[in-house]
Amino acid sequence: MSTPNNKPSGQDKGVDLLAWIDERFPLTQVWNEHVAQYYAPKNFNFYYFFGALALLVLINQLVTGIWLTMSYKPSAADAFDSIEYIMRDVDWGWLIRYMHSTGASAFFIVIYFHMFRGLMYGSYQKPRELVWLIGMMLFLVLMAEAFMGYLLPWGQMSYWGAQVIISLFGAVPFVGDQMATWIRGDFVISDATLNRFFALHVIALPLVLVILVYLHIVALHKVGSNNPDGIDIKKHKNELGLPKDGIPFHPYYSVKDMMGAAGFMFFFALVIFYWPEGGGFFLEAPNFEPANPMKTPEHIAPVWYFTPFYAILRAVPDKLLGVMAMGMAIMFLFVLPWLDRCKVRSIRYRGWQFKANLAMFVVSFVALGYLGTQAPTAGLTMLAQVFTFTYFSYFVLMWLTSPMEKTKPLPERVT
Amino acid sequence: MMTGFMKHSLLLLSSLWVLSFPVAASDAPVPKLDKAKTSVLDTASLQRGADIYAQYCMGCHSLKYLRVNRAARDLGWTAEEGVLHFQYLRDGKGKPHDTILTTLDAKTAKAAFGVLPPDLSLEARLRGTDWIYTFLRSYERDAQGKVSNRLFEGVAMPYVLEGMQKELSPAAFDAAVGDLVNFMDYAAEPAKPIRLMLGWWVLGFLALLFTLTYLLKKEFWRDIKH
Repeated sequence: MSTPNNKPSGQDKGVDLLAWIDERFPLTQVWNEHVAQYYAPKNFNFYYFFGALALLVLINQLVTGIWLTMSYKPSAADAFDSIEYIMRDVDWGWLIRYMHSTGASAFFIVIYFHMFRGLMYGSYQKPRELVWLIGMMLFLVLMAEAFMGYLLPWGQMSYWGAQVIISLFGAVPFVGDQMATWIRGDFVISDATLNRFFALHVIALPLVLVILVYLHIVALHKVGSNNPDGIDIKKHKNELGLPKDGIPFHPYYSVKDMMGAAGFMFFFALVIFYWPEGGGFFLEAPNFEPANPMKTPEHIAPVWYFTPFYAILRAVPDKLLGVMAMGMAIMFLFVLPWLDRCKVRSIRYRGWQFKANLAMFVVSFVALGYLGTQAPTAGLTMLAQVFTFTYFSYFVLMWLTSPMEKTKPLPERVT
Repeated sequence: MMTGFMKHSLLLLSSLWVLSFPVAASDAPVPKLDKAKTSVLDTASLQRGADIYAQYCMGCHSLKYLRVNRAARDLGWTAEEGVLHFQYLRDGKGKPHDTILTTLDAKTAKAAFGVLPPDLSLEARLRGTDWIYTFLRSYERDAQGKVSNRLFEGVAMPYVLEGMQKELSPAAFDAAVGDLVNFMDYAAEPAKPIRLMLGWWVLGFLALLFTLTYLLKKEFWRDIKH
């Protein structure tokens, strides 16, 4: 601090400014609590990159989205043309658009890894139930965000994909048809639908996403991060009261996440520059034809990140039951913290039942994802039914076997 | 850390065994497509393809998203040369920034073909270059003079390249169709050449950034005991 008689040096000026702000806003306090003195376990592995990467992809989607909005026209007459205008006439428009379209798929890849990490190391268990619940709400909103964004290019698959998904609401007894009409704002997908999806996609849902991300992090920092050993680092503290196995997020994990971000961006750029269609999974070929309400494509498949749930929907012969099964497939994930009755968190110390169960769950999810991209045949539908059964058995077996699992002894300190 | 990662990756990969299931083939036999060996970085090929398009295709099929001056610039022509190459159907009255539109009116087209010839701006991304390459080389005329296409049953488009096919050797004809398909691939995504050229620089930069951040991380983490 400078004395009143001396002119402050440049560094003192900075300190003065910070003091001035701190008297009015808890800047230093927030920085310390959440970054510089937030103690994270020191044993994070590869899977712990995906939380930070999810934030990176969210920012990518927000920024590229803003620039796309500057040239996109949300009307049935102009939407498709305006995308081609962005791809051809807008300076660097093609790059911004590919960053956004690839970003959507990257978002789900990152989120699926992030969720898999939570399943593996029991990050949803007490006391992190709310971190998990808010995360699941994020997942749900993200799906809605992606679904509505997919209509905007107004290609054939945009149109018919939305048509199929919205018509699912028609399965609801008594009010189903009215609900579907209410969502569309018309009797078919039309200009009115495109306009409201645009409004929801560019402002309503992103706003909810950002708020939920904030809550997700607030809840996480209240209870502290889990780690691959699934043990509590706050049990062993040093003389200063700091966890012995914890390290400050900044600089240790800030530099580590920078490395993760650079590595991620390398693969992200690889797709943008050399594989933007992602083999027809990131940009589907039928979407290079403008939406045509009079012509149904031979095979309608949602984008790859929805196909596991779509496969469950199709596996059930009855439409209403299929829609309910699809909803349950996501709802069961919400209550996972209460289905898992084991006190041990990490897969490293859990019994064979947990390992076999999780392996089967991953196999079912990937298999259903694949089956959802394929045109249904009798054989494939039967396969989808088998994997739908094994998908749900994960939750049932979790409830049944978790109390009687033979777990390994937990280490005192992280390994 | 790596061993744990590898172990769990195995768990993920093991899930891929499922993809090796003998999947029941779909009902319709998928015709085998010939591979179009094209490169949008081959400017000479794009120029030849553009000329073929202007002579054989543009009479009916527009490229309504492709501007003449843009295509000319990317193909190594001046805007005036571009107008000459693409716009000769309208007696040189076209403007350089015009998009490439056919002069065929809808009524005449309907009367002649029964359908409206589609715009081909995005055909290469919709159908794929292999499909177009195979399609254009699958026309045949039988003894009765009836035209058909092995890939596209009941095709409305006439055997436009018949003269060219008769004139050229099979290899030369394949090469000419390859040039045309190459140009259509470019027309479907004019940013493709710059995308392919720029990508290496971006990847090089990111590889360098990764190396530097890796070293930075290593330096910071030296004092953390595992």
